[in-house]
Amino acid sequence: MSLRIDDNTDISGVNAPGAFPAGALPRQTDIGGIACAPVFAEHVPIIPESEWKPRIADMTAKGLFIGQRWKSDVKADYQNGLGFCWAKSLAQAVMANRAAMGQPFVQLMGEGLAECVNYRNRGYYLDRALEYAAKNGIPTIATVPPLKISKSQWKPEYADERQNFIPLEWWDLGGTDVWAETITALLTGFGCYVGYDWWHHAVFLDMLRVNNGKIEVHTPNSHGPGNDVWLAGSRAIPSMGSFVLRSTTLADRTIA
Amino acid sequence: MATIGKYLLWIAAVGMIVVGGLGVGGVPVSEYAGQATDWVWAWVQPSVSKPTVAVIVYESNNPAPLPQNMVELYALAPSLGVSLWDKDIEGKGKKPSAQAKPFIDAAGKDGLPKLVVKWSNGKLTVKSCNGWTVDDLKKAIGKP
Repeated sequence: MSLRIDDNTDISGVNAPGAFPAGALPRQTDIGGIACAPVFAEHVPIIPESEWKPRIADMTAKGLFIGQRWKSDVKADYQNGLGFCWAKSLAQAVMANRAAMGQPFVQLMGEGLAECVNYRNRGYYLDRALEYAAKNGIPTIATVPPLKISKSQWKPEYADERQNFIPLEWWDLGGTDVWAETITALLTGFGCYVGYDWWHHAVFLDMLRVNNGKIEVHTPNSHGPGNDVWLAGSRAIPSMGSFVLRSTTLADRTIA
Repeated sequence: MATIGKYLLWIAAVGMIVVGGLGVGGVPVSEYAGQATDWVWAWVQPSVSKPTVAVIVYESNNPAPLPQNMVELYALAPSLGVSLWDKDIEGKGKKPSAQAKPFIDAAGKDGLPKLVVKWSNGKLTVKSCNGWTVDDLKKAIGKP
């Protein structure tokens, strides 16, 4: 059973202090300021709004949304008290991209990005996390166990293994209209790594639907089983960055 | 006359087996797990060769608007066993992937997207797949 959050939802519960530490912090770079993430709006024409709803219906019927072609392992992706949404959702973006490339499923662990926060339980910037992952890669559950953010808790092979899973090429959204760009990206079969300041949260967006005539966007989220969310109204519009991963390195091998 | 005919048939049959066994224009025996009669048939009819690796090489930063049939093609290709690789894809440590290089080289950099297929007979084929439907892709890789 999914949750649904719109402009009328009392968000004091989802933002309750201590429930989930603030994980997403405001981006540090300007749009287009990351070398591996050119500005989406400069490369891709926006799909006209008149086509959005028919395309959503068609894509849903044919199972074309990335969220219909890839499912998160909600237990392994559960951040469970850690402020690691910025890392968990980035790992989801890479796993989904691998599925879109036809690569076999591998559980990637956002905990493996803990160096960004000096191996402590802290929030972080989406753009900086993206840069770190694009340089170092993300390790798998074979070397980094769930919820372990200390390097001493990882297998030493993680540093070598993570290089098999480097998110190579991105787009940076928000050059003109971040909502229209996010919808265009989803309607072309991609997913979006986004942040919401009202939620202090980073998520991976993977699907659209039309509900009561309004477009809503889905995230598998990283708050555990049964906590995937449909976002509606202004709550759906990314406000701390929206990034699309286009390609990931080929894994020549993985550690069994 | 009938005896000469039998000899000619025998010579033809032996010749076919020898040539097929050498893999000249056909399926090398070492790569074909079927019965001998199967690989002889595969040699005389190359169309039964099957894809071992199939990849659509494309440019993910393509500025052209994606028509719906191409969105569908890219989205459903993996479900048909066809990988989808950006032309700039790299391997471990961001080096050119040994796994991908032959396919990327075969596709070239222009006129993408292209379908690159390595067949069980060892041949590599390249076809432009711009504007294709999923049915076109199925036909190209011999899926019903």
